[in-house]
Amino acid sequence: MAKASDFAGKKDDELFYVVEYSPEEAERIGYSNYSYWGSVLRNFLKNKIAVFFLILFLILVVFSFIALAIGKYDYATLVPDTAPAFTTPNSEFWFGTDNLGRDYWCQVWYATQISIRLALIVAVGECVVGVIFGLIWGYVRKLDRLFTEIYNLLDSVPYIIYMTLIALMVGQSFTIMAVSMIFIGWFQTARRVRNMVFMYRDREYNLASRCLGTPLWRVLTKNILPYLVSVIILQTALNIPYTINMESTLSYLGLGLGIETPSLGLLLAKVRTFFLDYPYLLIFPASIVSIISVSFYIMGNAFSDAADPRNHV
Amino acid sequence: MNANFEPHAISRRTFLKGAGAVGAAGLLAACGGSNSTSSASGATSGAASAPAASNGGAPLTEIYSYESNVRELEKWNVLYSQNASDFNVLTNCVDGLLSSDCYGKPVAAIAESWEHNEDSSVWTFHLRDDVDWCDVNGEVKGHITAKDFLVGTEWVLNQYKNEASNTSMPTTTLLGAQEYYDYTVEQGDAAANLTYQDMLDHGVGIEAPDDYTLVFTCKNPCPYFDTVAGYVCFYPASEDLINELGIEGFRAATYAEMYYCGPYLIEEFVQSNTKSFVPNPNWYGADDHSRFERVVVTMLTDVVTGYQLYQNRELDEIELTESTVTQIQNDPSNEYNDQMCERQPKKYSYQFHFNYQRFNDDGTPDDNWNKAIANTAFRQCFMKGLDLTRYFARTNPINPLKCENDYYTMRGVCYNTQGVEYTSLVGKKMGYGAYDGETMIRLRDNGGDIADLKKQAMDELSAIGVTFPVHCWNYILSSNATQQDSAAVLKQAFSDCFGDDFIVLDTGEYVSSLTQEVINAQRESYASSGWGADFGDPINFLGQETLTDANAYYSWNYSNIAKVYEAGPADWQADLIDIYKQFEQKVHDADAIVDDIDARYDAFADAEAYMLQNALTMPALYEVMLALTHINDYTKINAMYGICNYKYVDWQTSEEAYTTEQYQEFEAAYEAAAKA
Amino acid sequence: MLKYTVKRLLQSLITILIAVTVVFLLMRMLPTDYYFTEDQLMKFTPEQKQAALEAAGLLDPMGKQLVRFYGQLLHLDFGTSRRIQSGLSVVRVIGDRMGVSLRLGAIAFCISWFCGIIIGVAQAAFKGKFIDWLGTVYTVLVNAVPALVMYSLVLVIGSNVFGMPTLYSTRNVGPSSVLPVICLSMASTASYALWMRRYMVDELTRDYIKLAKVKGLSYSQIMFRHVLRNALVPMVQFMPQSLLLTISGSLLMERFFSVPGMGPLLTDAIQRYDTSVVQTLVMFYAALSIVGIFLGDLLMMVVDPRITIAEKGGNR
Repeated sequence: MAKASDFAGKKDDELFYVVEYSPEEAERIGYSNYSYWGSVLRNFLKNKIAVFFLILFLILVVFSFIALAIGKYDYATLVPDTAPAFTTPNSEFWFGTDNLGRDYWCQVWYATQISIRLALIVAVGECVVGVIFGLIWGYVRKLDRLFTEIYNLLDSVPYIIYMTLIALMVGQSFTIMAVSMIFIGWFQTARRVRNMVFMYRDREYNLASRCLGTPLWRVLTKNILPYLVSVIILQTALNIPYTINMESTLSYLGLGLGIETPSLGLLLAKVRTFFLDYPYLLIFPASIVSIISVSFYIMGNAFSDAADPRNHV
Repeated sequence: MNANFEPHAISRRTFLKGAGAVGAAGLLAACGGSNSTSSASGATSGAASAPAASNGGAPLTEIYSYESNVRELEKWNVLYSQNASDFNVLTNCVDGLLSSDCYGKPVAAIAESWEHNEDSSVWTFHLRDDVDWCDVNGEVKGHITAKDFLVGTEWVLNQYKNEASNTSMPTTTLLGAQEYYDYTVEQGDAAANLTYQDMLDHGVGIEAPDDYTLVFTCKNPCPYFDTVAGYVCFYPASEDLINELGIEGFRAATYAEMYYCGPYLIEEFVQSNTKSFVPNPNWYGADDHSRFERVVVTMLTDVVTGYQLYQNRELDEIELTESTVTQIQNDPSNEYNDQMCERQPKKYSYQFHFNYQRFNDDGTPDDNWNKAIANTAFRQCFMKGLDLTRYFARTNPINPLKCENDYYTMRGVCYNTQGVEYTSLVGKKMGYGAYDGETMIRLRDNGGDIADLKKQAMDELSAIGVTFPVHCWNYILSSNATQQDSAAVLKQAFSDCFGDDFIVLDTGEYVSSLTQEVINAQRESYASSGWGADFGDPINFLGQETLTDANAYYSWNYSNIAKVYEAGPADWQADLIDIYKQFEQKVHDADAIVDDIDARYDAFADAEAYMLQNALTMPALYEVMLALTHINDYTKINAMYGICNYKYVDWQTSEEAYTTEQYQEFEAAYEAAAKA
Repeated sequence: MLKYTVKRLLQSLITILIAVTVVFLLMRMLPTDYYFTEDQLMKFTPEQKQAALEAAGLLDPMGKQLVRFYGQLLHLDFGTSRRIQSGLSVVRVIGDRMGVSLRLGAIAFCISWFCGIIIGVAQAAFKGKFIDWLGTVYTVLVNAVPALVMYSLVLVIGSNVFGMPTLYSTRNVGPSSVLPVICLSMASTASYALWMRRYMVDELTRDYIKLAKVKGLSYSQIMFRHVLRNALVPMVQFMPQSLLLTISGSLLMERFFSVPGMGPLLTDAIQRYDTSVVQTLVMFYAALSIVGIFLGDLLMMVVDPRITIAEKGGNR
């Protein structure tokens, strides 16, 4: 304890000085043996259904590689042959054959890999770009107008126009598709984040935090972001089925991926004309799409529940 | 017909009729007639002579048909439009001088009779005196005389008024038409005030000595002018209506404003959804032809829905896709198993047009391909070695070889004075046999064995530095599953027939426009394209392939041989250019024969045979589709040129669906009658 | 507030203008051959093409075209369609179709908000119970199956099993609208239910709910007085926008059922390079979405007074 005599004869400057901001010290208050992500994981693992779907999805991904390896036909060397056209699944053709008598098994699994890759890349890309811009948009009031204008501009020109023009001028490939889907999708996430930031920005604890001189990035990442994690994760998880869905719509319009990259969307758009007569052609890709989508819905919801700090006590 | 199916079909039908709020059962006897296939004059009385439809089913009084929704109507003005999809609608609303019969020969419409002078350069048409204009409600608005045809021709030739649509046929055939067109271009906006009198004063070769006579004078003798005169560029136009609506207004007049003189009026038009037609009460042909009480054309996005609709009897005909055909064929108990009818070929003769000046994507010439394709033996390998049976099966899985096309000119475009069809003359010169349903006709010579030709081509080409395999680029519409599959099938055919050491087929994609993205950039090795005739003479086909003519469409745009010749061909193209020169000479010689139709066609057949022997292009495909139908296609107008094929007049229909067998009988009867 | 509104609307007007200028320029970056049909490209001579382009004013310098375009906009002249319905004014082309889309869309909107909120609330109220599970299965399945497949199934089942008319028909509007409306509302019901449940569950864990429980409020009181009202705040923001956007129709559904609505119009117009229609549609959609967002913000402020949007001094 300092005694009063210690301060005698000293000037105010020496008595009071500004303490440097220290992240470690800031965490010290209310410190407990609490790890946010650890709790999230624990809570998530408690949800048996979600864990089941997580495992199911992982199995699907792994199996898509195994399936291609053990299949009797290789995608690259498929040959059209009218004789076995529309063969229903049997021991030779495990998923039957398509209208040109090509093995459907390797087509479906090959397409599965491409679809999953595209969906993950797009969802993660949209999430990263969207969250960064959303936080800045919501928090920094001066930028609100600018971002709103950009949002309006992007949002008010229908994506079909962008997709058509990109396809016409740049071409069609996996990378172009992924980039353009992120380009037309990120601002939806950003807007949702912005709206949430609006709701939390002026709460009292943030006011206090600002008064204490916490830097902007820290307010954003430590005070606001955790509240948003659940919503962001849900949005990202939902983006995955949405991307697959949109890709099939674009394929239907002729703006999808090129022929070298057969996605599930392309497959669905194609067999849609046959499925009344040969349901198996639709059932296999549709069930895989459904498994992927269902997995992400369930996982997304469970993870977002788990990510809510208020559930952690 | 399947017993379970019938009640459902009837209830659906009545349901629709009730909703349409027209119960016109009483008119059934008067209008639901049909015509025998021998109505060559096109003027038999439908109502009087209507026999029971040949399969015992009652004739339909209303027809429910469909159209693909990418083929929606865009323009209502028949003079202004240039799209087949518009004409398919408009032919029911307006008539021209002539129409066609089911064999494709010109027959009377507004003109009752016609004749020409000795060298076929002056043509006189005698018009009916009972043709009226009426509006969309069927109210008579005016009387059609020769003057309306003058007004129409002036409109087409006036660049200000018609914006250059449909000018190519009158300017190439009619005396003074090109000059008058150029004059209107010069005049600019002032051309708005020109009238048909100005046109006559400029010496355009069209005149009206009296109200019901029209005389055309051609630039050069034109033995096929009757087939030109039936085209839209010579359709009538009402001066009153032009004055009433103004030039802009007339050009853009829709079904609600325009005047009608054809068999039907538009009852309802909902864009990209439905069009319905009702009979025009004032139509001059009402007593001589049978019509339906209502025709409804639904726009379809998708063939799947089409088949669905047919099953519900919301449609009376549907073309079948591969999967449906396979499904029906493999299931003997399927109610449609014996009802799959083979339609007549569509009016396009598809060719693989080789590109003699291919560019790579980066704009550099692809000389490996250009050298190879300039070699005659190399081209003949395509002609004599490429078995396309599986490719044909994509169009017609049951009888793929019915789709085989061995000629450049479309079958049925013209007949000589003995009634012999033109392409059969070519066939004789080529030594082609008859359809046997087993092998392609042109491969029979050597059984498709091209080992010698291949060796010759490889030796000759290796000598000038061509590397093998030669890559052949084929372009398809991006993400179009049907074209993708066809490309896969073709690739396999190339591999099987040529061997991977010789020619390999590569597939590229375009996003929206084949012409814009591929043809103009000359990126394709060959492009599949079908020419639809403008008029009934071989020159309309062969004239597209000549070396130097300015209007040789394919030479300039697809094979690019005209460009090669203009820019100066390379050494290795010398042989090719020689062949083209000879071919062009033969075509020009044939075209100069104007007084003897038989000799003319024979000379053309000679030129075409020369072209095919040297494989300047490769004939590919006729579209012979399979359909389920209640309509006898062989009673439809079936002209290879003009706009009349979709006129809903004199069709034979039946409440019972036609069977495969019946259609085969129709076909046999039709062919017998066509030869007679 | 009024000042803010006026200012914001004016700024939106500029946004729309910028958007339509961008589209105008983008459309004109394409080569002119795109303005013709393949039929026309085949039969037109170069002079004919030139003449047609000139007549349509497409060969003028870009600046002149833009000035003319703005001039027309000032007179509220949106031009005439070139390809969709040649010569018809764009307003008429759009007007004919808007009614159809709006009618179907509004019905579907009511159904899906009503059902979506009920399902969402029920799920949240019985979280973890059978109803929650059932609702999740529905939302998940509807969203998991691609729309193309779902519409095919609705079409086949609706027409084969229930005998509904397959395609939309103006002669038979009532029955033939059933399948399109079902398709439209299925997906949006699921998404409303999903978000409703999410916001409700978020709200249920709040401290004030604990307080309310302690105070002895009944469960239903808590649910309806507190949770529902708070959870509706983020929901209502999307309400005006989604209602307004029904006017623009559904691309896939309208194609599928041949509904003569707004949905496929834009793609058709782009594919046919009908520039006036594309520009007008973009302007129209932009206006709809901007008005929608604005109304959404207003509505959000009304239901939750804590939220402010207008810029005030003092805050950063």
